[in-house]
Amino acid sequence: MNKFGKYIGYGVLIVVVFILSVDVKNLDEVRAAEANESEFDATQYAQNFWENQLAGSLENAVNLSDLIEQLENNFEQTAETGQIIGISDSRYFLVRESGTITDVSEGQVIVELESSDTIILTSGYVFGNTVRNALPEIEIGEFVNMTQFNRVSIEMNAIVENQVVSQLKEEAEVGRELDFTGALSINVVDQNLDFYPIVPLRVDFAD
Amino acid sequence: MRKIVFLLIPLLFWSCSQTPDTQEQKRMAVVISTLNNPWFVVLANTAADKAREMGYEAVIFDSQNNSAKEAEHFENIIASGFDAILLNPTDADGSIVNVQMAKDAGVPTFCMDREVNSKDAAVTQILSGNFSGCVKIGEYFVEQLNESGKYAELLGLVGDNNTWNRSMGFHSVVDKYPDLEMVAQQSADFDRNTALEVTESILQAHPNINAIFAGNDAMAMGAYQAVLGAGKEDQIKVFGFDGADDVLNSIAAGRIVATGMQFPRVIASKAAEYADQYLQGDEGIPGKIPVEVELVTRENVEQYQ
Repeated sequence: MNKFGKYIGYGVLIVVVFILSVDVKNLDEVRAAEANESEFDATQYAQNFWENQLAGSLENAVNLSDLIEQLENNFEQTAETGQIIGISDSRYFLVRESGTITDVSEGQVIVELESSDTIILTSGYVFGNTVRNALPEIEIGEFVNMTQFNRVSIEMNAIVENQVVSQLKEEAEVGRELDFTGALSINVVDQNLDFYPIVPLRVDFAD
Repeated sequence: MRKIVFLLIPLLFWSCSQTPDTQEQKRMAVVISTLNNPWFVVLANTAADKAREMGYEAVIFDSQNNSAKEAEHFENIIASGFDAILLNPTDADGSIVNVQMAKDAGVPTFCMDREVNSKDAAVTQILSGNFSGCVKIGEYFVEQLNESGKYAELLGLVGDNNTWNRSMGFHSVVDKYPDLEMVAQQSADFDRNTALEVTESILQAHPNINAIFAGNDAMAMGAYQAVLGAGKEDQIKVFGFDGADDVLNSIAAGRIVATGMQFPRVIASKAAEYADQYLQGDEGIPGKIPVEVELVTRENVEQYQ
């Protein structure tokens, strides 16, 4: 009897340990969670952002001539008002301005601003993260991994190439006036005021 | 005898009243995917040194690129009462369960260089900007090849997100140029010897390639060795990624063409610092922190040596 009782005791102990060590989850919930992570549609995300959120973001663009003047006066302090992603020497801005086209060449359109500063608008391929990183609404924390975050860059760049750069390339002529809003990247170490090309996000020709 | 007992009682009370902080040194575990690669040795040693500098005991664990080994380390670390884990994961998916197990046990994890596919298992993930770094390499690659030629790509570990982010960054540029044709794409597991063997076999099938893009510097060194062995060093340009010392020397000597400079010391130091801040109550640490990668070519290699 004693032995029998001992066996029952061991049996109960094993069952209790087993129950405590198993974490039961609803399989449908697990599958749904996995599907959400693996089925991220970067094309859809970028398209949705472009159609529904971009206009609001561009409202916050800073005046490019003012930014250039502030950078000339105090580069470091002004640069820190830009967007920063992680640990980086790059700062990103959304900028807007008006000007007149003074030159058109392969991959770039030169624009003289009303302030007499000269800038470059990209009219070729759009690479990297400048567009995505200049848009603060696209937050790194909302993505499961860097792959998703980077795929958003590729898709946003594709939209910019197809919808904005192609228009600029087609319609740019020396002497034409235009309003533009774009993404700008500057480097806090180089402190170079000959900016990298500005990636246009919206272009409106005056005539 | 009684007198001695009476004298010992206050001492016992004093001893019991001490908090664990003053009694025991806090400990950080540094768990590294593999110590069979100098880059990860730098990452491990920097993280451990930084933790020690801040007053922690630090112990380094080698997962030998094996998720099961990593799981064993995590079980031991949790059972041994470590306060935080600085992790270089073996696998973006396979390591999630280990990080989550530590989280459930109240031990926070801070990922270094490699990520896990989870928004909230780790406190933070400090990662190289692999994609943007390889965009820069891609642009330089296109320029060096004058927008045309045949090339091969050596991928790293297929279960590691860094492998794909690097490849994706590179192709986001190079694929725009129709006269650049990729004739082979194979994994060499981030390993120099494997890259040597894989490249030898690629060169037999495609003897006329003009370039090789390797997803890390160890593979770039292996690829260059194969190219040298085939006597094609003037025909084939090799590009790497990491910023390892031997590749920097090779770039300076005009052999390997370019690499992307990662900053393992920054990544590891920041992970240890964030772990310390978190243990002191700071809960405002961002979940993902990319560290910018810089392009190194013969023109600027001196800055990095």
